[in-house]
Amino acid sequence: MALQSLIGGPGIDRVGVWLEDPSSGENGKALFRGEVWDQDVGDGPEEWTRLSADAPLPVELLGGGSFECALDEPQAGPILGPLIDLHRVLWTPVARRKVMRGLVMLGTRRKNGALPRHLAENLAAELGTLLELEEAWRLASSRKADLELWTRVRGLLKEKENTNRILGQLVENCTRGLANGGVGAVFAAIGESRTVSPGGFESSAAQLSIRAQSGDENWVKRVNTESLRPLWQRALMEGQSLGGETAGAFEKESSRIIVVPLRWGSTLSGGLLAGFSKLKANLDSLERLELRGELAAEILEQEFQKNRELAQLRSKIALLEAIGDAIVLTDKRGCVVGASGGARELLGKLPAFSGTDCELRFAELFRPRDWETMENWALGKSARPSEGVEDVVQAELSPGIGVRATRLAASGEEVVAIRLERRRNVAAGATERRDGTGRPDVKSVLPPERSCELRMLQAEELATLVQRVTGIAHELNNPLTAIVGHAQRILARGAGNPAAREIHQILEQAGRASQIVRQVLSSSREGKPERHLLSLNELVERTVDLQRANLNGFALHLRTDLAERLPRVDGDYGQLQQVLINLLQNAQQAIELSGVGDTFGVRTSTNDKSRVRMEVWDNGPGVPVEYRSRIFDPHFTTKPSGIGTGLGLAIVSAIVGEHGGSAQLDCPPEGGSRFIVELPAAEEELPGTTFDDKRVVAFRATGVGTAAPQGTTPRILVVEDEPTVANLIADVLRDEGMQVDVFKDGQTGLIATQRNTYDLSICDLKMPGMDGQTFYKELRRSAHPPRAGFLLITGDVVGGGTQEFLRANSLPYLAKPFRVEELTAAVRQVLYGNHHAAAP
Amino acid sequence: MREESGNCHEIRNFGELLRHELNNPLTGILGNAELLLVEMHRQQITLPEEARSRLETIAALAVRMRETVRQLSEDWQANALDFSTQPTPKGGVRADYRGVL
Repeated sequence: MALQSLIGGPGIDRVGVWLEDPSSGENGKALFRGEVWDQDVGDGPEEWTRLSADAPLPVELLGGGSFECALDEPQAGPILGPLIDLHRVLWTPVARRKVMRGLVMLGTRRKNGALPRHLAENLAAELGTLLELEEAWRLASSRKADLELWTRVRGLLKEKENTNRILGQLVENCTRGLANGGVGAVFAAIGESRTVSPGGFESSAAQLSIRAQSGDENWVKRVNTESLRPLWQRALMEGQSLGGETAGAFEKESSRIIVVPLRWGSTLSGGLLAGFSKLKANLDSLERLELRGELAAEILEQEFQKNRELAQLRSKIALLEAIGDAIVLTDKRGCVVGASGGARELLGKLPAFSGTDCELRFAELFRPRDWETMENWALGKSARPSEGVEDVVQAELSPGIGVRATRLAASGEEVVAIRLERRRNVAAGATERRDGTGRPDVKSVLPPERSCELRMLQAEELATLVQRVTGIAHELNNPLTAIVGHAQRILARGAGNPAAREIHQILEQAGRASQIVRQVLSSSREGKPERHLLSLNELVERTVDLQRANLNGFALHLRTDLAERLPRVDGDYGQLQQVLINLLQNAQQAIELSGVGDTFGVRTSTNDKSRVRMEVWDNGPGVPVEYRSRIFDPHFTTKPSGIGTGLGLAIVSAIVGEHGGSAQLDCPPEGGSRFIVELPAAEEELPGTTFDDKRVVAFRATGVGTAAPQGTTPRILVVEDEPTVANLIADVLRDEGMQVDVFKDGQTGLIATQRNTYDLSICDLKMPGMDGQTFYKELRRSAHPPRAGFLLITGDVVGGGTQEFLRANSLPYLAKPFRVEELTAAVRQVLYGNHHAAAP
Repeated sequence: MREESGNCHEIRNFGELLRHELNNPLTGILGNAELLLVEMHRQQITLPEEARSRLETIAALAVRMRETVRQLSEDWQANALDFSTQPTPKGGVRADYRGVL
């Protein structure tokens, strides 16, 4: 600044300007630095350029205005250097936001005459504005530096840079000077503690584990001492930044410590501690530290999660090693990170896996010609199958050694589990392994818990299979319902129908298909067995058909001899079919393994109508006398090792016992064996129909509604996503004189109830979007529930969840596929009650 | 264990049941519907127009079902598994397995 330009002004002999120096200070006191220019001597001496804030300045300056004084009187204390040799002096503060940030001094050697106050004040105002601009520039620079830091750290995180290295850069930035984009702390440290929670520390002596530090090392040593621990413990417990004084903590200056808790989401992982000289710790410093604290928290949390995943992965790898099936784990880069014992056996030598640092690509397990295919498949780049369908690919490990790879449903985003299986055409080895010629049978050598894991893998496979088959069965019910309905509608169009014979055949075949679908759904259900009236003859016919498919070309004969008018039994279809399958397989294996005999079969009979008998016989070698008493014992078997579980006949005995029957062995003197199962005949017979007798269940739902008045036109709301079924229902009910509104989803159905009042709501239980259960609950809660009640339509009444829902709400339902007369009967029953329901 | 082994057999059985047995009734449904449509076309029988529409719907639905079953059949062959020697626990375990992997 050209201070000399002021010299020569009216009576000015000396000019001094000092501004606060933010980079220095002593004992917490601000230091002003500046220049002095004297008319006679020019630049003032070096010591005049520094002016301490506690220098003997006039207290009047604290008022914020200029102050002029004479220096003729003897000074009480030491006189300031720049005042030497002057008679009068004018002090003017340079203020910013009412805080003195500098001083302007004009001095004269003359005893009389006022100094030009306006010059001093103009100069002070200009300097104040300059300071303001400088401050704004500094703030913008620091924000820019913060943004750059934030971007750099996020980039390092994304690149999976070493955590300690990133934390080190963060603390170093905290101690860097403001001009270099730092916060200007004297020291900084990031400490980690997972023992803290808002409720407090697990131990009052809990310590911060220092992960990164910068600046004065002596200070870091004090973090876990009584001088600093209470401060950071309180900050972490309260979950907010705190500041504290630490007089004596530094050698030269008393300091302010700021602790920023490291919080990511609801997780507290430690604290960022920084020490400042008093003058430098301001609100801006705190904000900038908090930004760095947030970054540090994110870094630590990512590291924590990564370590946890790694630990889980390592335990999975350890677990996998003990599993006999060939399972490999790959990461999202397509590298193998784990392999089961079975996979090692199948694939040959594999490296030891630690969960990290493996560069073996999954694709490289296969022949080079398959690399590209397998790489794309492993990375999920090839076309994915639709939901519910397994993601499978085939490749060769070496010429002629084919493998089928299946992406298991248990795969996650980070780790993918892949099952490898030898393809069918080369799967003969699988049997050999079980026989102990190759890999030992894992179930026999593994401890029980390992064997359990293996069974879990199989359970997953089974569950997927069940899901797929039941899903398809559901898909078949909708078209079946529509086929039956349309066929019936054609028949209903008057007598002498020329198409009657063909339509009856269509109905008959649809009934047969419905029965199969129902049986599938019944077989695949989970939970307790369900008892129904069933025909043992029908069960035998169907099961024998299946068994014939398993004869595998052996020259064996399978015969059936079924009694006429056999009473039905009250039993679980799937379980009783299981009994028959076990007995038939037993008979077949007895003949095949011994080479004795060529025929086996089933015979049904009844004696006094109270019991039904089913005999499975064979002309094989029979059962040796010494084994007969133990033949139904669990794990008892006469078959060679590796064939059968020894449980087949035990299962037969248990199931038959549960049905109140008996199972026994009879060995006729002429040879062969005969297993006789006797079951109690059902006490009450329901009239036989083409369809199952229990499929239409309609009763007045308790407390739902009141019967619709006779003589009026009932208004029906139909919510069904399958158009063919929906239109059929509407068609049938309109013919019955009812007013019908059809909607393809629950949401639009609900909207319609706000405009119209309905007597009955017919709703499909399984629909995309809002399902039937939700629709029922919503409509029931609404201001306009149907007056008479609800009728639900379901494709799977045997499903545990469906049954529970229907029972819990006492809801009438109709099982798909239904006949037209069943629909009208159920609708009338709900609308008018039992007395007015038309007989099906 | 009884449940486990039983479950394996049930699954195998109902899969085969669907595959083997559904095609027959579907053939019957489709065949009869198409027969009637052909006879109507040749004016061997006379039915109202509405009946023709219903028969066409029946035939289309039967084809749809046949495709569904065919898909199942293909799936089944692609995933042919030998369950008979692998006793497996029922439901519930699936969730546990998800936790393991």
